[in-house]
Amino acid sequence: MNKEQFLAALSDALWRMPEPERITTLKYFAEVIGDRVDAGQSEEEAVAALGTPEEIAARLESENGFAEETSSASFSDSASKEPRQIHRVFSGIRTRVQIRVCNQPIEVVRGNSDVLQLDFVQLPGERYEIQEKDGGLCLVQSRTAKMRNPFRLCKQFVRVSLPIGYDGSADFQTSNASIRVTDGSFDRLRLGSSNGALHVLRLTAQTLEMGMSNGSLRLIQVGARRIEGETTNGSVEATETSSAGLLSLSTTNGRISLNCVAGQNIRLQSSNGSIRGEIEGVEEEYSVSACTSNGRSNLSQRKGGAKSLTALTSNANIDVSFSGRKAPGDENNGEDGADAFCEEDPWFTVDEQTGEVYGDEPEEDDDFDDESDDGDFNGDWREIGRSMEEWGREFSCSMREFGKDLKHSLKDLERQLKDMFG
Amino acid sequence: MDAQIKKGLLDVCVLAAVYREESYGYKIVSDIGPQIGISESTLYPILRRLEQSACLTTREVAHNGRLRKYYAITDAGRERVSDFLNGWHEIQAVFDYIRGETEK
Repeated sequence: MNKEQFLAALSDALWRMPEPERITTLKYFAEVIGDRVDAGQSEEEAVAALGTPEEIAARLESENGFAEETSSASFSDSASKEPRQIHRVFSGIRTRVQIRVCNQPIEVVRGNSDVLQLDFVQLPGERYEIQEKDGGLCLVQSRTAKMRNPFRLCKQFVRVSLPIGYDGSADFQTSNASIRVTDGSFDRLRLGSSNGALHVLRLTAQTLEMGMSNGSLRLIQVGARRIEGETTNGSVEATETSSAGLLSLSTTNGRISLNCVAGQNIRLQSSNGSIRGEIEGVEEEYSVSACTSNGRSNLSQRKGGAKSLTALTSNANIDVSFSGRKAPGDENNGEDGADAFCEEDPWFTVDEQTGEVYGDEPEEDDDFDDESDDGDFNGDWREIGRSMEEWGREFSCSMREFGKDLKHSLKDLERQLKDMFG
Repeated sequence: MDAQIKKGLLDVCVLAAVYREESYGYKIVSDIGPQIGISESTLYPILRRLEQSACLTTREVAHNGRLRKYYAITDAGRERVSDFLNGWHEIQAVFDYIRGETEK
């Protein structure tokens, strides 16, 4: 970074500072860079010695406190016809994070610093508001662009990098897009969207609530005290997931597949989709209630178990087995416990009747691997390009999955009808 | 050095660097660097705080075709330094107590 780039980035990072103070600050840094250059350093060396603009802004804010207890900023239509990339860093302790946007995916990761970072892309005609109050941070998209580019789903995204050790609540809502939350610990985590997919991976929460319409839910290595996932027209997949209390997963037109799942009170409900997979523990531990109207069920009703399992569907089969291993403690809600569950490949389920393999393409496995290597967003447009590509791929994956689900449901229905009427 | 103690000492250190004659950002960092590690980025909030509490005054001087901001100590700043020096025996007493208790 040269002097000019550094000062531009610093000016941007000091967005909450009053204008006159920001100018004074920029003059100071221009002066010390000049003095370092006079002393024989290159502009790049001088800039590197000063630390990043975000660090400088965060330090000024924490030491002098120019931010009010409550602050807000809005980003309204810039005159520019180009998308504007916005990067914000927030220091201080946060207990709540809330994002409400439209038509764009949200990606949430656990960062490796003690600041919260927010990245999003503002298109011409859009308006965003950021509010901070009593430890809460809220990003709201208050106006969407009038002209909707049909390919926009792949172009925009919100990326949240939570501070190290974040354990507050979070609420992420979008539409026509997916939400993915990886690695983290939450008090209460709420996710909501439509026409996309909700993915949670490697996290713990007191309460996890997922609400979706026309899309799939996927939980991998999740530990919580209460899990509620609901969707319509989408599949639900839970792998190495445990709840110390309620574990409720429901969908209308999709299948529910389980792999190493544990819970004190497991409720699985679908209408036109099958329920299959394996639950941790032995059958004797559970009071079982299973019902399908027009399908077959391998579960028999039984009472007297300390835990309960309810599986309900109408026009499909129930095929749930027990691992036979003792579930590793009811209080287990940590990822370590979840890791110990099993090492089976979580990505495929095989339909016994057709032999068809459901699950993701291998590329998506790679996606997750890439994700763990991901550094923090550093303002590189190539990074945005890469994310766009990735989200595009993910969107097409979830649409493909939705199509497969639908096909599967129809086949099931056809089979039921044949059974009934010869 | 403990970060909290360092934070308390830095203000006085900066005042000492401009005690005899006015100075500017880069020079202050170079002067006090050997005693207490500090960068211009760390110095800036301190200068800002000292200026706000009227311990420093500033003036801008043209240098090499650009502006350089000079910081000069005020009476309030000198008082701050002498308060620190006069209070030193109290710090020394605490230091002695800690050493005495832990060396028994």
